[in-house]
Amino acid sequence: MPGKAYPDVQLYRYDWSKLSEATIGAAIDQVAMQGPQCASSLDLSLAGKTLQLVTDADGPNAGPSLSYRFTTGNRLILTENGGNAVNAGYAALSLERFTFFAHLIPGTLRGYAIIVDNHTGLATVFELWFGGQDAKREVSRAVWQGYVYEKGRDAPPDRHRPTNRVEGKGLYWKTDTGDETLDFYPSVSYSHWVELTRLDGKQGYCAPSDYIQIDDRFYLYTRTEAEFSGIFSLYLMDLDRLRQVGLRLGFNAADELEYRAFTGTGEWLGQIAQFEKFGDISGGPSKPRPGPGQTGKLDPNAKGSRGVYRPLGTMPKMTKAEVAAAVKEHTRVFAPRTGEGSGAAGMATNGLPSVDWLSGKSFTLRYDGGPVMDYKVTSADSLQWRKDGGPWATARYQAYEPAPGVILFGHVLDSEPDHDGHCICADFENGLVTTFNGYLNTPFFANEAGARTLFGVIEMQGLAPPGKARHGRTDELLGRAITWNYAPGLTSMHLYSTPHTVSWIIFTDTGAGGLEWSGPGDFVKIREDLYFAYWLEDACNGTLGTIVINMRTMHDSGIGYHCGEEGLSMSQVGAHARHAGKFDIDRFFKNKT
Amino acid sequence: MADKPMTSRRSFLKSGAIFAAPLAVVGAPAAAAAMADDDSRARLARLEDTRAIEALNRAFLRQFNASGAEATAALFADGKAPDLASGTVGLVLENAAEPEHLELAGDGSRASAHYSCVVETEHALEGDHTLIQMARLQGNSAYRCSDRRVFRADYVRHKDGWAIERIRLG
Repeated sequence: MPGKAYPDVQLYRYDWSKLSEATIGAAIDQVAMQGPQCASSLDLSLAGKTLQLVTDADGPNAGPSLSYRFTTGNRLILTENGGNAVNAGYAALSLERFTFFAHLIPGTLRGYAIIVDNHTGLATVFELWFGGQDAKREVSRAVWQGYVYEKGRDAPPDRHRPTNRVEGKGLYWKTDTGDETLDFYPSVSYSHWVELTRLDGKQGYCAPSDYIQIDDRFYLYTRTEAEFSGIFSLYLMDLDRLRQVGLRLGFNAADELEYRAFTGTGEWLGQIAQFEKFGDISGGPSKPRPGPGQTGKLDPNAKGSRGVYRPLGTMPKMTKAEVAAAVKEHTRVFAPRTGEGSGAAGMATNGLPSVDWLSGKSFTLRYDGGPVMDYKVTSADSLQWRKDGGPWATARYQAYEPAPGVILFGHVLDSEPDHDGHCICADFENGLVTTFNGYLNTPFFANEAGARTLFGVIEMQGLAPPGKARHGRTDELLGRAITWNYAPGLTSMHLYSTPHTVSWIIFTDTGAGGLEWSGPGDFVKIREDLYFAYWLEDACNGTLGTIVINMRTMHDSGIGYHCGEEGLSMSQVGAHARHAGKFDIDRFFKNKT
Repeated sequence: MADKPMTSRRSFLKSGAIFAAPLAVVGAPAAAAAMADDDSRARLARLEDTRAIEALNRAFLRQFNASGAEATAALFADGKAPDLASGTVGLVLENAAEPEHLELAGDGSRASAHYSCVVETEHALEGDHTLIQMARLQGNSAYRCSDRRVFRADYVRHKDGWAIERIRLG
């Protein structure tokens, strides 16, 4: 059942309607002759003109030839590839020397959005259609490069081109309808955005994107909200004057067709580092490959094909009973790194060595409003714990020392009904502890991890009590982007785009940002330049990832907690870091919790 | 002399010194001529063997680099593909025409050689973590690196010519 246009739940939690092609077609037919709505003044200068566009092939796919005749008002007549003429409504906007216009084609699920450079005669044509993906509501797109044909003139040799020249930038945009977003472009094939007004701004999301360079100042950007609404957004942006004109097309959560041309103004958020070789300005996107659990459905030569990460469809979804059975059968805590299915072998290659610092020690972790955990550590990898004075239990653990006197250790609490795992950052110099308490049997998928953040104190003989001092949540990581090299050939980058979001970008072999996804996160300051953070792979793989980030050594030390069909695992994470930069976004979250 | 193994470097062979140096043997002119003739034939035979082995190496490298170890099985005396280090996907012999060491058995039935080489290895990303799944999905499912190693090979002469008996990467 459709609900609010912009849901209160996270986009990946919303039950998006499976719209049929008939429903989509009916919605298009209602608006196709009117053209896109627009809150700004339209460019009516095309009226009475004709425009013939010739586009290049893209691999095995021939580009369309489009002949337009713009009649009065906002009507046009289109002839595609010499076929029959069709009438449609359109909207046009101008920005500097460019004309942008868009339309749907009545009686079809298709349309076009086109940018023409009136100086060079070059054009980029976005062919748009519904029904091309498993989710029919998701807008597909093909990008065609070409030019305005003029009889007697040779075809220009240049073209607009895919680029990485937008990579690393971040912009705040406010459209003519008041919609505010933070758009981050940390990849050549994906982007990350935060809805500040349509949604509550707490969670950022990721989408496959295009980046097309026109010149050093003007660029085209698209995103398709795959896995969510399927809405397609496109804009031409002026990086110097921070202005945009564009199109928004797709069905929102109320299943209303948004078909709107818009203008907007921006604010500069910053530029983080790029990691391609100097001189490499090539763009994306990558061609599609089957993902986990996908076989043979992806045709890299299909029109508009590209690699799209679709984690919800491929993640295992287990019931509470299945989780209980899997945990009972296979619980592996800090299994050898190379064990099949250990879940983090490659994630720990650059990890810190484990330490026996805790061995022989007894202490209590007393959490505010949480449990009291007593520990007797018997060896470098075995400890005894009890919760709230209950019976002692033995558990395997590993400990790491990400900063002097700060011990990160983790263990599973076997007897807990939700198969809890504690990832504990204990500062034995200051007597403070923060624990990310992972647990299973969460509401959406039982194998998906949830997390509680527990603050508390360490009670141990010889350790001065900290009084009322506690670790606290921090916004010092907000806006930062940090790369993590886990192993040769495996590097990601975190982008902390809201106080509650961790986005991760996977670098390609050439050092370009590639696929990207995001999930909820939490950030705690342990000491100066030392932070404890987690991310949850919600509607993805269900993992809880926890890391202590040392911004001085630029190394992290972490523990992953994951349940899948192969069982429950707790495993090491560790990587070498580079600070890619920081976006200036604090002002957008000052009064938000 | 015929039973004595001959060790050479290709550069030595190319220099022509092999033909010049040992002919100072003194003897009756006819006998000396016969000896010189025999010696030249032996040296020529060894030169041909050396070149045949080098051609065999080139064939091995070409087929290995193009199609992997399995494609090289026919070059081996036992008809089996070599079992090189896991993940080896490329071999480059540095100056392949000039082995560090080439030794031919005196009876011409066996030979061994070693070369400086660069070994390219490709390692699959281990694990099933989300990041690794995403890395595989976009195509960087493995990483490559190169190491300087020593390519050691033993050869054996069959009736149809030379075959590789064994290859090791030291």
